[in-house]
Amino acid sequence: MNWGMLLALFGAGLAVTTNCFGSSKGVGMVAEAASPVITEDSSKFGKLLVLMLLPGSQGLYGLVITILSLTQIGVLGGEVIPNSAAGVARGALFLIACLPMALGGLASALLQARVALTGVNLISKRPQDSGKAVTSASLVELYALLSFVTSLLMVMSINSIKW
Amino acid sequence: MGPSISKYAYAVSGAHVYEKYFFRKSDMDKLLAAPTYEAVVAILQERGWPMPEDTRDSGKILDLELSRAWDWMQKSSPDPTIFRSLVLRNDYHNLKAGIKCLLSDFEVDQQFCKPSSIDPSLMKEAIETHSFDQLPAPFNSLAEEVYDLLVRTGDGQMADVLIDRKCLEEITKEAESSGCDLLKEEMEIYTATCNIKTAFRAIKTGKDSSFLEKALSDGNRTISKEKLVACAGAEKKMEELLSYLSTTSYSSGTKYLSSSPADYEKWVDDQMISLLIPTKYSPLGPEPMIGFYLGKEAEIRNVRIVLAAKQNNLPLDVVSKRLRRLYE
Repeated sequence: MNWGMLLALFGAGLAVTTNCFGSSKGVGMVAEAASPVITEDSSKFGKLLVLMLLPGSQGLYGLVITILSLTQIGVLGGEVIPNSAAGVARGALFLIACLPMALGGLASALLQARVALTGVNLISKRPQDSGKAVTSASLVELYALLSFVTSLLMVMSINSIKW
Repeated sequence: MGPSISKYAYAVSGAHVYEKYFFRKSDMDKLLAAPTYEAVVAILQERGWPMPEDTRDSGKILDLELSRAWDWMQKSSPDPTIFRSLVLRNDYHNLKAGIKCLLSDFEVDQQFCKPSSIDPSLMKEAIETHSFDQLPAPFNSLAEEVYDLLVRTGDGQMADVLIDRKCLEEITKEAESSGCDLLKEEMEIYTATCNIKTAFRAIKTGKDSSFLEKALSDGNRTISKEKLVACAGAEKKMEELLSYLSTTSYSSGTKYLSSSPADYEKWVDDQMISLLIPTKYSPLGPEPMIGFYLGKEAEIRNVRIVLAAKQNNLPLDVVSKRLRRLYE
């Protein structure tokens, strides 16, 4: 069994799974909350759509980290992780590199959805304040981006480490 | 334990949309300024309130509107059973009114209140046919006991005591089992203030401590039943009661007890609404739903006062003092 490859694949899978879970839950909640508002006034759909989409970005970031990891570990190109002690260490490093995106993305998607929900209520009562609602929800995006950049830099630099 | 709070996204958002159509202070002023009862009804109709055939019956107008809010809440909530404690008092009222109407040869459902957790037609049938076992526990055994008591002794007051006490105890139990802290707090205020009111009236009418022992419900956290009962056994009963209440969280309402029962009721209602405000804008969870329903109840209470005032030509200044705080 190539434990190094297993760990690296686990990390790559984790990055996309947790983010897609958070994003689908987040988008689902915001879309659910938006439906009574749209039922009452369908012209608010455009404003609400931005809020519905915001928690979905983490899923995309997770996917990018996963694809990038796969290109580094020999699945979609790059050098295959050897079946050795050094390979296990390298696999573990890929797993660790994926964690910021996996955890940061999950948390930020769920929290962003909560902010977006308050935004839905704001738009329902005061549609002219939709900019404020979107800006508030976008602030949480920063932390998903920080997680993404951290994981990206880590994944890209593992293969340049000399063993 | 109720469902996960994230399941409330649709219901809470829907409640916020619905709340936009609640009456605000300015709307209440418009209702007050309406010249006649018919003009008030016309405003309500314009605001989309459902109307019964006979609009002279204000009770039916209000029941229809509150039932509409309750039915919407039941359909939208992921677990509607959580909110049962909010309407339990109507079930107990219906039981009491139904049995008394039966024994007085009136239509059993003449005084029924809506909304309720037990279908009024089931309640009516169970009372009319004396088949109380059709009702869920504890209504079945209570109905049997109260019916027997009324037939044997005709003691209406004791029947009221039995039903009211059971009602408060079940409300407390139901709220505790909901797992929602806000509901527990709201129902604690409601049941505790009912007990305070009972103790005050009992002492004022010279009842002894054994009566209070039977009349007061158990289970309150913020007042002590034992202390209220002890007040009725003291030499200076009323002084003892007021002195005890001044040490509880209900001390600010004590002055209204002595001045006017209507002022005390208003104070209780306002306290309950104040408790809802901090969770009014929560995006998830059962709290905004509780706020929605109790807010609607406050609105209905105010409209009831305005309609009654218009029917009886009461002066505006007297009426406006009675109006409750709104959920806004």
